[in-house]
Amino acid sequence: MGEIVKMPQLGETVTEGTILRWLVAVGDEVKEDDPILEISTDKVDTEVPSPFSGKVTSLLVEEGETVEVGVGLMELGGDDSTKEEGAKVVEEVIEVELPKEDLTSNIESSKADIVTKAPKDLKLSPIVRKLAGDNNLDLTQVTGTGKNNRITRKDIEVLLKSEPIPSVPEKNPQEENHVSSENDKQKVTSTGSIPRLRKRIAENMILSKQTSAHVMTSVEVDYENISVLRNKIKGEFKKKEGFSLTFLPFISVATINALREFPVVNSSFDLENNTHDLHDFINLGIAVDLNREGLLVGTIKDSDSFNLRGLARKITEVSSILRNKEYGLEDVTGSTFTISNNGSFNSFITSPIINQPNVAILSTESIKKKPVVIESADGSDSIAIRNTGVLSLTWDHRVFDGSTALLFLNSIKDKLENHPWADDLN
Amino acid sequence: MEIKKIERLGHSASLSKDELWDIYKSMKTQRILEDRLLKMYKGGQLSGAVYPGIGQEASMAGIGTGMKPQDVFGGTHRDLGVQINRGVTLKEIALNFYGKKDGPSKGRDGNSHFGVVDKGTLMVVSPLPDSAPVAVGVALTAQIEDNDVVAVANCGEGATATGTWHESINMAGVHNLPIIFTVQNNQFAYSSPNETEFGTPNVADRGLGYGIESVIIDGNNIYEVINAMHKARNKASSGKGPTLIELVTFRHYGHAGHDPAEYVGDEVRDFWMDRDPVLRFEESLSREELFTEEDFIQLAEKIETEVRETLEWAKDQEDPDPKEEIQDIFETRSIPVATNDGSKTKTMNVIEAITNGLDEAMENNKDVFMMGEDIGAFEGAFKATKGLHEKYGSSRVLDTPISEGAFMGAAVGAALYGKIPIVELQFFDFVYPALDQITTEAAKYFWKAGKPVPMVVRGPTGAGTRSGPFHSISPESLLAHHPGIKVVAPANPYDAKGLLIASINDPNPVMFLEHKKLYRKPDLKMEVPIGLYEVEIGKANIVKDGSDVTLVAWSGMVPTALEAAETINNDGISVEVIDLRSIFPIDEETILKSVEKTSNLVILQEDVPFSSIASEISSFVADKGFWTLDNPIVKVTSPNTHIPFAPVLEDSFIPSVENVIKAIKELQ
Repeated sequence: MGEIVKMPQLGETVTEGTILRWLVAVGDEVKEDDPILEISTDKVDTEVPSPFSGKVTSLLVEEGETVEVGVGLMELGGDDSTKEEGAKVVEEVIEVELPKEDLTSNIESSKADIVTKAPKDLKLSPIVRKLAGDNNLDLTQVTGTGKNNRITRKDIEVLLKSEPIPSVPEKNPQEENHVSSENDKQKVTSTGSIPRLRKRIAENMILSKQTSAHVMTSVEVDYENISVLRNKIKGEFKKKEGFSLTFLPFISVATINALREFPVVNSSFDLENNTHDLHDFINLGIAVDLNREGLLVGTIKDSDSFNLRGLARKITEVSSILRNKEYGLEDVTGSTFTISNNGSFNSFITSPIINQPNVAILSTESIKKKPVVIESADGSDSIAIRNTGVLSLTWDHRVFDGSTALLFLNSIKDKLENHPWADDLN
Repeated sequence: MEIKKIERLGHSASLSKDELWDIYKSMKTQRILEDRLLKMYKGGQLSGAVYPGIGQEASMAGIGTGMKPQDVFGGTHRDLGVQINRGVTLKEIALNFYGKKDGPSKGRDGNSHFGVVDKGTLMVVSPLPDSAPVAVGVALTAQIEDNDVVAVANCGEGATATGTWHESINMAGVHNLPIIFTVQNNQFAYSSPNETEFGTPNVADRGLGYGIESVIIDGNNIYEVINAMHKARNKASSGKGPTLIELVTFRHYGHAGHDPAEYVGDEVRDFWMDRDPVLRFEESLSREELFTEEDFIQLAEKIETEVRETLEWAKDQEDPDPKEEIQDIFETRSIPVATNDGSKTKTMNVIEAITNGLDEAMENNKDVFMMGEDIGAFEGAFKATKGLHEKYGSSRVLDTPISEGAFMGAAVGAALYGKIPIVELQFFDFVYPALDQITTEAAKYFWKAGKPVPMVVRGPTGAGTRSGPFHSISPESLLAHHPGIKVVAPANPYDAKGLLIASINDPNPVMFLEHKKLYRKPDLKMEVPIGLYEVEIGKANIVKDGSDVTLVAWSGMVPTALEAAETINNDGISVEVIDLRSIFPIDEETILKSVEKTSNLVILQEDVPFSSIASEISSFVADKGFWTLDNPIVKVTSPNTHIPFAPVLEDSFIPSVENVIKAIKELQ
């Protein structure tokens, strides 16, 4: 019996990983630290280096499989007889894909996002696939009574008559109803699989909503001073820095300073374990849109150590490495507070979902010229045109209350409207 | 050139001036038309081919003139002259050369390969002389009907080397038919001179071998041709039998437009140019002062113009629509379906049911008649025609010579002219010599000439009687593959009679396959209704309901299928047995519906597997029933080899009940 390489834990919150691609095959000689496979977690895709040297004697999991941390992936230096018995099946939700090609184990299927949990030589006949698809059946729950434990049509029929029916979550409500016996095209509509990133985002969003007690509150901010300043220096700034100065750095600085005043908004809250961590570091998370394919939060560690210019640079840098997929684990984890810049997409007001384990998320909205009432020193009112925009905070009511939320929010507003920003740029 | 004169003697002396002019016009039209067509072909303006009969005008016009309007001519691709003489128009010819939609063959065959049956010319095909057996059939019908129709079977001297010609003229002699065999001996069959085609100096020498009077005449002397035809026709129509007329002539050009005919020596050519039939006729008519040079020139100009204009016109006519190409394979039925309340029945086995069906069909319709070997007084090798010759006589239960090609073609001819022939093949293995007529003529007449061919070909099939490889075939896939033929195979007495009546009432050629082991199977007797009734062609029958496996079988394999189903039922496997009954058209719907129910398909067939009916069924179920299948489709068949004689070998060859059970059990 040789050495077993196990699924590593890549991130504190990571509990499982998906095997994307084997980089070695049975029989290959591997040295310590050679990359042996690519895995994907909900945080990041990465290569796994081999902890041992030796000859690969057995690959225990297949491409496309998702396994828990700690599960054996590969054996080095074992005797050649240990084949694929070690394939660990995980009690995870199974997606039964109904593609046109055979579902028998096929190394090429790594390209598809099919996750099948059945043994390697499973043969699903056309009628079985169709019935399983029509009824959203979880085929891991089916014991085949056919040759070599093949799942037969009868097995499916027996299953359909039994209670409860083990099914998968409805993932394609558009599936056609089949009028039987017509000799035209009546097959199951096989759905596209969900890309990994989307899946991660989906899971995280649901989890966040189930964790925090989301409440949204907002203020209106007068950005006129900042706007004037921006217009004055933007040309020179762009020339010097190579990127444009937006409102986001200003808002970020103001937020960071407000977080100093209200540390509870910068904390992490674990109801289950009865812990509330107040962090003395402020890692600002910036939500970055990845060309409408997904959303990632890039982390600026110790963001309170940067001035306006520095933070502007950092924000640009983070957006860039996220968009170019050059990020590592540390680039997308560890934030203590997140800003979501919806204004750049012309929002009026937004209530984003809290980026766990944060306790709040700030949404910047669009900044536009609007008529505002100005009260002059003599008490008379006049109308002025000023750049204004909403600033909304979605926060976790488990952790603090509206008073805190609004005080914090108004602190940001105050800084944005009244801080001498010109000083920060000199 | 020194034109060799001709004299108007004998019967031709009695022809009127108008009649002579019509004959001349016909010859001149042929010459001018074919000249034009040849030029156009060489100039690349015509697709396909041309086969000029220039030089044979006297033979052709003479043959036509010797026929009465009701007579029928079966000729070759070179006989445009005869077609013209019989009233086929320039327009019809031109449309066919251009493959136009309104042409006589709707564009399905080109150039001179057509006939206009309504004008008494049979469809021209390429294998020659395939219209000869058909003409024999026309003559046979005329004899039965006694209606003063005479058939003419015409070909070149080369075609007389074929078995088809031999069988036709032989059968005509045997039956003393009202038919004239004309052979236009133009000295060359493509490039082959006479001595490569027959061993006697003349074609006419062979008449003796058939017991037929024969004459040899100058085919380029219009008067001689007319006289010979007149005499032969009189003889035929007065019941005195066939004549073989050899018309010695010469074609001025090659076999086809592309052939420069370099194999013809100059001396031969010069000899025949002096005997140009058109010039000789002109010379004779002028000499008699019936017509002048001026008349001839004027006519020529007129015909020239007409030919050119017609060809121009035809070129612009509508092309056939490719989408309509799949139509016209089968004629639709017009006879109402025979029904029977089933109140009066009789216990019969398969052969008795068939005999009963034949009897009632013949009684019901006087046009139904039978042809085959030993079917008359002998009552057939399997006694299928028991009592029928006694009841209906030789004109309706006809013994044929051992000439499957000839009598199959004769059936086509009879079917074209109002009869419903039922051909008995003594063994279906003997269908091979008849395949030419079945595929070339029977299967294509409706498609190519618009005329349906209502005929039935029936005979015993199948192995199991220790009869060896030449008496045991299962021919269904061989026959079903050819478009234009229906194929049925009943497996019990009720279906046998019902399908037979349906086949007789179907206006298309139907192959009726009777498995010889079912004929007198002791446990295969049924109550069969007396009186006519039908089993619909194209409908299968579920002979046993089941839910686990669909088992499709037909003919001799149905009892095997049922026995296997019975046995395996004890193991808790419920098998649904389908008796196919019709091979083509096949009942896809019933099979697909059954497979949808069971999700398993086993096909049982006695025939060899490659390219067979079982393969065809597998194909459409794998296509249309793919999503209903729980297991691969299984074929249980004989091995892909010939049917052996030795009992131990034959028993191993034929699929058994055990083979079927094993196959079913392996599904899971």
